Amino acid sequence: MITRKALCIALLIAAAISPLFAGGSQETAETSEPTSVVVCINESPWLPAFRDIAKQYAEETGVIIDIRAFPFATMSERGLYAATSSESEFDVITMNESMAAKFYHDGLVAPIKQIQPGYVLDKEVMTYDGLNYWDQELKYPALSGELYSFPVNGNIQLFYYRKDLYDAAGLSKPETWDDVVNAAKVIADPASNFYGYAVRGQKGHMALGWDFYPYLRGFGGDIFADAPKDFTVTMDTPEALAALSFYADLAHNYAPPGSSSIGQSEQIAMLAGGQLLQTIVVAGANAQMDDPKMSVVPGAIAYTVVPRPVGGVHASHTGVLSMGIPDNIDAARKKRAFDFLVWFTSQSVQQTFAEHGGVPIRTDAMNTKGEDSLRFLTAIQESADATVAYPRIAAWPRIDEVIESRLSEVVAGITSPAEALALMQIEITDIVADEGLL
Amino acid sequence: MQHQLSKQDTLFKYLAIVPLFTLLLALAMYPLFSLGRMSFSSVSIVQGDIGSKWVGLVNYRNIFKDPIFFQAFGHTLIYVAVSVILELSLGLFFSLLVFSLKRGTLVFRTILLMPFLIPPVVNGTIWKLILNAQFGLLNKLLNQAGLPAQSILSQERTALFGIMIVTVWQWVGYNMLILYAGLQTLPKSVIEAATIDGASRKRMLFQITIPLIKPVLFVALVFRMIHAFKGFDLFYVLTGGGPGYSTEIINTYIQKVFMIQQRMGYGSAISILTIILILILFFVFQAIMERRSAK
Repeated sequence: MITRKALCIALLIAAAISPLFAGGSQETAETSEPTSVVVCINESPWLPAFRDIAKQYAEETGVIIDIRAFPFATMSERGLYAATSSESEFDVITMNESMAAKFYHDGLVAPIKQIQPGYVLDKEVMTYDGLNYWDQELKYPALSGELYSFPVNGNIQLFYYRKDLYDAAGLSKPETWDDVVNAAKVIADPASNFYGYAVRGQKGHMALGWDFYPYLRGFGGDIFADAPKDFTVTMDTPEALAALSFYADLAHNYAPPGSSSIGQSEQIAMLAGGQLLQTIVVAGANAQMDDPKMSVVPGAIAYTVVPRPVGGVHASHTGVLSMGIPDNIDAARKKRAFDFLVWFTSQSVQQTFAEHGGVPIRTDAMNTKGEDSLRFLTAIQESADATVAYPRIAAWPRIDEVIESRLSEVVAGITSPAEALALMQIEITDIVADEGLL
Repeated sequence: MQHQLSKQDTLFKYLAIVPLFTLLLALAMYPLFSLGRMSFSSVSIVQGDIGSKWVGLVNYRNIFKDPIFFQAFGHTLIYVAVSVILELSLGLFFSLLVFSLKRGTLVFRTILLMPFLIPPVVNGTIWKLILNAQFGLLNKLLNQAGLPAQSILSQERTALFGIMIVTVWQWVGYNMLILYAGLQTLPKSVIEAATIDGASRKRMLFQITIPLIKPVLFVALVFRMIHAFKGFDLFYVLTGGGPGYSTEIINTYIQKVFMIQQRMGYGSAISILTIILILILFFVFQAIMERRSAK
């Protein structure tokens, strides 16, 4: 039997929760046209700049950019889950270079012509060797294909060095790796916890291998003979051995102890913490170097193109992030996402993005306006002819795992460079054969 | 007097469990069945659709050509065995310590239990900062003591050991709590009799306390083994499986094969084989324990 007390409690609960339902239905009625774009993105040095720009978009259009940030390693997983589900929770998915091909190949992001027939990127938007296009015949991202995504952060590797200490030691901007090693010998003082160099030794997804690639290319080596035409593995060459031996030398003789646990965030922290003379870091980390809240050496760090070996070439790996629109969302959501991306890649927005610490993707948004804080843009322009990229194939994550593991063994001193390269030669050959690329 | 169920009641009894059984089938058995089916297929996502092609035993044959799988499985076994033994030993030590206290047991129990209450990812991050070779707390303390810096997570020899230390730190409080509960159920008369008879502390521990709390110890052991076989978070945060493959365990490897490399057929085969191997290990372990307790 229901007592009066129980009845009162039930009525109170019902009264308390009824606005929830009423509000819900009201909201549904009022917001039949949702006004947000949900973006899956990675936590990275350029995220604050993206947040600033997203606020600007909301102010200008009323459309809220709902940012869902994940660690870099899990961003791709989250994007893949969403794009392979019945309906993506995200309207925009951020893809790194190695995963973009998989999204295109598997039809997980919509071709832009499906959303806006006839749309082409402005000619000032950099092409990054066709990263945002998919050639169905070649089965490879190439300019000959169709547009599938927008570049959003034109990250490339830059060489960061302590200009104040270089100047004090009478050294000029490093051009070759010999200059870098010489500066490490002259300036660094490991006994005082100040190191001459730091490689990325921590195994991850496109981490250690990504750091090593410009050395490999600079010394004249590469992973494949001529991707995407010829996937013969070329890791057992004298050039690759020279590159990896030099990399191991930097790790063992000039880097802090425990190189195997150094990732990009540790490199950035050591640079900004005044513990490191020089290293390769993404351009997007520049904002942290001059921020007195984050850096004990604001204004002391200069940027330049990644050095080359004597007799070799400059090489700077691109780390461009692109945004695609999942195919499993309705046309209205696709259109809203498309409108945001078109706006984001426009000239004025990209210039503002650069001024907030982002790395612009347009050639006409590199104006430093004479401001010292934008000096990294000059280094990006200087690196324009030196950019290189991993082969963008759907099987890359498998190959990446081999490269990351074997390189981390070299940095940890478990295997020699020659042994690691011999193993990589065998293991990568097995993978490309298994994937039908040979 | 035993009540005899009518036919109608018996029917109702079975009908009553149908919803639960259906739910169990849907939530547990179907995904397992699906995983099993995928393990015999080549699975790919093309144009947004999951496509699978029957390939028979190919994925299982590939496992035997994959040295990383066996390396990862070996690391898993070492991790489970060493961590669980250390945790139980320390858990027993702390439970006896807390049990012997006259005051302040609640404070000690709470302090010891705190690491268990912190999410594993947070635990991993805390320890990553402590063990960081460049600016970690451990090396700062070692420097101040005039001792050489250590890079535990960066070296092949010590990385797995480092993760085990963090695991033990995280779980010792849990084991302490279970064993402490067991100690509280000990019959006082037996303890008093042993004390009157002049039994030494060592003898009391090994001949009275431990034998009497053996069932609780066994429960703690099985629970922790099950948990330890599910280990992932700490490995992911602390080392990512490196350096090289030195801290690759079966769960981190499955995650990479399945999620990063998107080799779903092969990932399913590894998963199924792992489930089978772990079940076999548990049955063997349980049989040994039962035989020992029967003796």
